[in-house]
Amino acid sequence: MFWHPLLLAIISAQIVALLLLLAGSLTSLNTALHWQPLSADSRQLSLEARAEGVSIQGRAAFWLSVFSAVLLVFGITNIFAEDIPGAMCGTGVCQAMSPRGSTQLLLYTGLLLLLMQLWHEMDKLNRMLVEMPLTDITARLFLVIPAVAVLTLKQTYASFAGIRPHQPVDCCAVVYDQFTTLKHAKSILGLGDAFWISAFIVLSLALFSLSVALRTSMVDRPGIRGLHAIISCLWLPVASLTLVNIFSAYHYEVLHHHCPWCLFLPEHRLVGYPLYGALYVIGMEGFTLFMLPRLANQDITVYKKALDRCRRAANRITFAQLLFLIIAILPAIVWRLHYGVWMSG
Amino acid sequence: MFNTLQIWAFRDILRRPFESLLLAVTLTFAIATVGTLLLFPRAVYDTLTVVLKATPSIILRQVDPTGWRPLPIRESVQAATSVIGVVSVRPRIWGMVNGPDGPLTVMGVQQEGLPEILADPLTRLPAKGQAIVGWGIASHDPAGTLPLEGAIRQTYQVIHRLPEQTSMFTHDLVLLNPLDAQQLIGLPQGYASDLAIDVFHEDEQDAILSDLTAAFPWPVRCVTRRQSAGIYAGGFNRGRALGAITMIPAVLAMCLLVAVNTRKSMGRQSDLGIMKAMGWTTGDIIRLHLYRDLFVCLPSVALGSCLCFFLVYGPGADGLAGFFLGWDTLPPRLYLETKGAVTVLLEVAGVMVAPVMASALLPALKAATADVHELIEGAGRR
Amino acid sequence: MNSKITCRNLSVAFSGENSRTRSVLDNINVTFPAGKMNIITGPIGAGKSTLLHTMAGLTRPTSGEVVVNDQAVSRWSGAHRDQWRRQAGIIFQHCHLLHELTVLENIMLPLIPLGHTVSHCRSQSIAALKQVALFHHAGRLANSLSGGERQKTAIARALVTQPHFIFADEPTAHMDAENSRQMMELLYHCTGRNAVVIVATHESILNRLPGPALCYRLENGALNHLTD
Repeated sequence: MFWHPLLLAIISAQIVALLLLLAGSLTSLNTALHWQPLSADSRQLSLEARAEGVSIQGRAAFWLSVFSAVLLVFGITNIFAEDIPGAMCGTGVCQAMSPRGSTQLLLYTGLLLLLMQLWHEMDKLNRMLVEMPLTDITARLFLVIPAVAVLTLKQTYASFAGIRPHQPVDCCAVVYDQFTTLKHAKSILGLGDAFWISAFIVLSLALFSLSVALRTSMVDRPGIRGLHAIISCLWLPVASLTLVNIFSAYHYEVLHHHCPWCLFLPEHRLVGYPLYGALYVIGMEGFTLFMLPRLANQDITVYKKALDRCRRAANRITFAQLLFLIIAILPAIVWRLHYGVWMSG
Repeated sequence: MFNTLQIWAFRDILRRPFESLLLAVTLTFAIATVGTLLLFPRAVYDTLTVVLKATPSIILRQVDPTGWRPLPIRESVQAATSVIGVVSVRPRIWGMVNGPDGPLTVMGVQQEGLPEILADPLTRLPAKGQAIVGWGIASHDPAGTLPLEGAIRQTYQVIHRLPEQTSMFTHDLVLLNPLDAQQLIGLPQGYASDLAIDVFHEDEQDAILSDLTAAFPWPVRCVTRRQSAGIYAGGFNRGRALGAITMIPAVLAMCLLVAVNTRKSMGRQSDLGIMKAMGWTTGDIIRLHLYRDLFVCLPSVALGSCLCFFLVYGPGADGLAGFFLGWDTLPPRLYLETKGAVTVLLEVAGVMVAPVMASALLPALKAATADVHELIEGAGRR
Repeated sequence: MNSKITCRNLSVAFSGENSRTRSVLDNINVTFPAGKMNIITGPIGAGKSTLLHTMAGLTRPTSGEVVVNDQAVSRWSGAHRDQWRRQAGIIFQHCHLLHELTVLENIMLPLIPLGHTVSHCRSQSIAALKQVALFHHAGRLANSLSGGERQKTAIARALVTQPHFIFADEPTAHMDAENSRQMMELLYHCTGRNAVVIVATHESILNRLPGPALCYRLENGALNHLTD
């Protein structure tokens, strides 16, 4: 078993969040089953009062989940490695957890944040209007979240319980074992760097244009939102792959060190935080931008508010994308200007 | 500079000066206690890291089924230098002997291959029959002699004392002439305790181990600097986590005490009800509580942090080292790195400040959903 | 602004002993217009305070709605209900002053969260204090005041923001005839700026009203219109 005060903080935050979610579940179930907004009878008024309580509990659970997720990433990238012999960054920590365990942990945490973010946006939208027209939909969404929160908590415990602090890991071997030949190292999924760079440029331009179009458009454009979602879904993996396999070389100043976690280290100026932070913002806001108008289409007033929120989401995506591009690409451009060649020749 | 709500919050504190003072004092001492418990192991760990950075990349020892045994210097150096990537090899003569107050570490030193830590504080090297001692070793003899017992019993003339700030590990160290050290430890002529090996690149420490082991005709055991750091860190952090677990109930109990005592008068639900009836929103009330508690908590956090820093790094370190580690003599000087300080501050914030702030906000959050009429009912009964 | 408050099928019940519910207001339907004095009378325990509190957003109805300008304010969610209360000035039967605050600070209380400067809040509160002739008590602690003075402070506190809706629960119960007349005149003055003024009081005061009023009687949970 692996022990660290930070792990204690992460698990405590997750438990409190789960308790809050469970406490709100019963009211959410009642709300989902018996919500009658046109009626002013005692059951409906009682549900309205209790739904407000669930909203507060849910918000507290949301911020606790965000807090625990940030601590988890901070711990994996910068803190836990020092307790595991041979681990130099998050790769070593993940290796110590077992690759499957760490992947599951990150997936569950991501899924939980995604669902909670959507619920939080819906709840915010709901509270903007005096009639709270989205209460029943948010209640249904709320009912899904505790299940994922349980899985996340269980996986956090299982992953860290699996670490044997005295058993050394070989951090770099994990990174370098990904390829056996130099040709292999220069390709991603069998396709060369040139293909991925081209794909990244095309998709970045497309995403940027669509985000700007959605940000400036005064009318509803569901088609563009759909296209934006597709491009976002393509851009995120392509951006991650090109970052780790191509652009990271200019941060590390070493070729073929395809490590996604070393970017978080202080020796690389902690660039992983803004870079992955930008990817997180684009992912979350992209999801919100696509889902929110679909879930809030019952009422014209709330739909308009949802569209306003979509414009803000497009705005955030634009800024996050610019931040990502600047931080990811700038070292490569500086290298090219300084040495006259690209690192890969 | 301050808005109306902040001025109102400050006025609120002045309305109950003793309660606010009590909260501030309790919080300051709590932060100092918890901070010290978290900071001290961190400081030891950071010191260890600093010291380990100055140690050789790899320590190599000869082993047999009975444990470790001395290495023949000439053959060992030859075998180690034959490995590609090894930059320097230094045979070391050291061991544990009995001093007047308990076990001490004895080390044979000569100008060639003097460890970096000792290069600066040493003005001269010990000749035969002479000793240079660490800061923590007390000499009971007014003539300045030090009796030591290992393979033989011998008394040495103390010619110099290493300065306090040299290093944590020179605290109980006795530096002798290499021949004296060999005799005292019981090493045969031409043998060393182990080899200190430096490699070309930090990352090669692990990669070179198999080549190094294969280069020796007898079984050897190697420990890299990184492994040492990891083993110590793991131990310290597990200790810290267990310490934190045992500390949490005490801290929570105290927080609850503080919260209950404070809220009894400061956070009366009926007052909140009246404020809400007068047009205060939940947000306004939360902000008021937040400002009020920040005005009290921020100075407490600053003062508590200073106090725990003073206890760990200042004159208070004497008592602390004696309490935690049983060091009766003067404690070694400890280091603190930025990362360590930030981690401890975050932990203190998480364990201490967050619960106190949460206790301050709880009545306001409770008031958010409660009926204002129900909140005020208490005032009606007053 | 020509506002009105409507109670639509309004019922309020409280859970009593042995988890039995006690109905206080039963299916009330009434509209209180702006610019007129609305007086609600009734025996002790009839539910006058509950009705005022429900309309002012201090308590939720068990069923039915309170509608203001076509908006069911009683069903609004927390943050919106907080905003609704900002438009209302409430005078409690038991005054509910904050006892550790001075008279002036009590009157400043509704102004603090509105974002005005301290000096503005202070000058407005002093003006309100002068209206109720309590300026000379500004620095005294609220718990050192007499019953009548407390009621005057509570009235000044309710009127300091010049609200569009005023709910007064027995505002003159502890005052002599002269003070009582002055305070009622002050409330009548508010109807002049088209505010909705609803006063819950005893029937004995009806003969001594300084102007016309719409009178209602609340009994056995039902509200009946008496006379203009």
